Amino acid sequence: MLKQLVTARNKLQMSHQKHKKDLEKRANIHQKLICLPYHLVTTEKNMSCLARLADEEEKLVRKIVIPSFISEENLLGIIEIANHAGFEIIDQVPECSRGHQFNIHPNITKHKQNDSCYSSHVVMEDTFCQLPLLSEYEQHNNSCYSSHVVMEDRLSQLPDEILVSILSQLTLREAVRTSSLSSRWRYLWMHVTCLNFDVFSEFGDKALNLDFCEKEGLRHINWINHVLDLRRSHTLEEFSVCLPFEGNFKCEIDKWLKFASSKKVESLELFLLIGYWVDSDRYSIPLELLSHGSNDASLFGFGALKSLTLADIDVCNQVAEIFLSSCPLLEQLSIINSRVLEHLIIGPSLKLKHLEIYRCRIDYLEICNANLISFSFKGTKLTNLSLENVSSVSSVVNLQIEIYRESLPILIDLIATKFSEVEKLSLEVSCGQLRALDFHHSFPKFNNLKWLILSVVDAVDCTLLEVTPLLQASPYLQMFEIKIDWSDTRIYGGTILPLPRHILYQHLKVVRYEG
Amino acid sequence: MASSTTGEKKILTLKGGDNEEFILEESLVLQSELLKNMVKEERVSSIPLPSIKSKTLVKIIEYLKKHAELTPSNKEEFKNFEKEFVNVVLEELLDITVAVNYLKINGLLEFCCQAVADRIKDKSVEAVRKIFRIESDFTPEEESEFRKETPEAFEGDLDDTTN
Repeated sequence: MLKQLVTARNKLQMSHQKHKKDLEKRANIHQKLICLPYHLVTTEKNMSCLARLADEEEKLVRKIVIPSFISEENLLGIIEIANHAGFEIIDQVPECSRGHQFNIHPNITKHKQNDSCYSSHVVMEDTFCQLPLLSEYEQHNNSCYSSHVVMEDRLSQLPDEILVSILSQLTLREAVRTSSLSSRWRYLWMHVTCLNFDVFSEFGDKALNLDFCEKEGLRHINWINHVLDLRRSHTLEEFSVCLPFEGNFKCEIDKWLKFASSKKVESLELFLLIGYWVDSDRYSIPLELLSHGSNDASLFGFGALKSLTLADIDVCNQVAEIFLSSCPLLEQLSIINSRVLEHLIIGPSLKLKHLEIYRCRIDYLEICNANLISFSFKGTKLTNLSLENVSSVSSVVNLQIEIYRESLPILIDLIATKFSEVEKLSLEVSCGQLRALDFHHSFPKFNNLKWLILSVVDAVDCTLLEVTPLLQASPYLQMFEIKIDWSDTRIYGGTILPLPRHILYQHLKVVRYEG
Repeated sequence: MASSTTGEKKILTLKGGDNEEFILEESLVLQSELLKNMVKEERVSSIPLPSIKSKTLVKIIEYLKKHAELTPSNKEEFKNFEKEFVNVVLEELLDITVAVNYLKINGLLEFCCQAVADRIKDKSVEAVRKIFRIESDFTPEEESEFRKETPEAFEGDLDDTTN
């Protein structure tokens, strides 16, 4: 028997199969039985490592065959260790232990095995030790897990709220699937407070194609409706829908918004993406949904909103105003691609910290006494906003600006005066704007600016020399990123001159260049 | 945990399930809502935690220390630490999760839940049952019936082929 073991081991030594895959394969072949020679199981560390491997690889039958030559003393040790690591031992109780009183753990099933059974399945020690897992494991300080565990369904014993928060981390489909695990799980998912319906994460880009929209769009809508019908929680932390939009979805979306408002939703995200085929038709939030009981604030269901994102939706001035004035807890507001938003007034009493206005036709933006931390603004060719209309917001530390109309010197001057505390500035400019910068221009100082990101779009033959005045105005800059999007390198090529040398970059640590 | 703090650092003893004692700075345990309340209201200097195994407690204290050292500059390092932290045997992860829930360390609890969820993710119902040793108490009829209730959740590539 011992001989057999040795030969098997030698054979294995000859073949240099060192990887996890191999172990997995072999364990698989033998009906998911992990058979180990005795010398492998003696250390606690090996056992717990193996247990982890069994967990990860779903080799769920954890059985260990112990050769019969093991002495009683060693056997006791193995039994203890194996049980600690949650393995079942299939064993022939050795001769020498008969007549002795020692406790065999109830987990051990006495099982008649042929000698050949284990000797042919031996997993060589060397192989095992070279698994990446083990070395990884050894680095860990408290790697050995040796407390006595009986394998049982510990997960289902966890309190409801933990299970619900575990379910919240899954996709909805996965969460719903757990309902068929056991009766303990039957209704748990219905208490999940984050509902995230994102077609794109499930179907990828094909969700934006017309065929998909016709075929799957409706199914997706049914799925959302189904989930909303079944769920039972009275609160709703997060409701997020990302869907390609079609005109006849309007009443469904109205319904979802009603649902979200009835549950006092805290975070609402609506991405109603526009396919190329429906450019004229967009969703707009019906006013009656927001204004029912205008004199009774308790009827307005969005009063608990902390975060609101409305993308590819026509958000009109009035809707934006209602949200801003009726959501005292609102911290984050993003309005993306609204064709009808023209002016926006951010009042003083708001908790608003993050404001994002992208690709809207807005031409008037007033921010009074708000404590904004980050402000992102991206215009389009149609955007008329002049920063002069934006009141000074010294609290902003993270500023991202893209306005193509204004001349850069004026824009930077305005940024310096209006956002004087800015620490991270991301500026997207066109090449023409950059050229208009006068080399000798002197800007007010950005005394807090640490991180400057300059993106140049449609770049044709430009030099970075023009950036000099901006760098001169930023004495404490630590990180400078330049992203250049060449419009056509084949024809013009591009010249980028090195950074001007006469400035002392005392604090500059990183310069990154892309393009 | 800056050395510049004036006044003496308060020391607290935590007693694990196997009576092992852990001595640590009081400021560390304030991340736990439960211990914070105990320390603030009752001014105790030794807290017995018989339901938590010492091994688990060691892990949690390790986390608290790392978390206390967290600064914007070592964020990356902390993330790696977190990843390693939950890279353990399932049993241990559940032990930690239960203990963290008891101690009310909210950030870590969320992270543990995420780690457990990661082990459920992308697996068939049958596989999840096996991994967590969940015994189904449904009859096959019952099961197929409410699978029909939400067919959308069960369609797709996760066939239960393990049998």
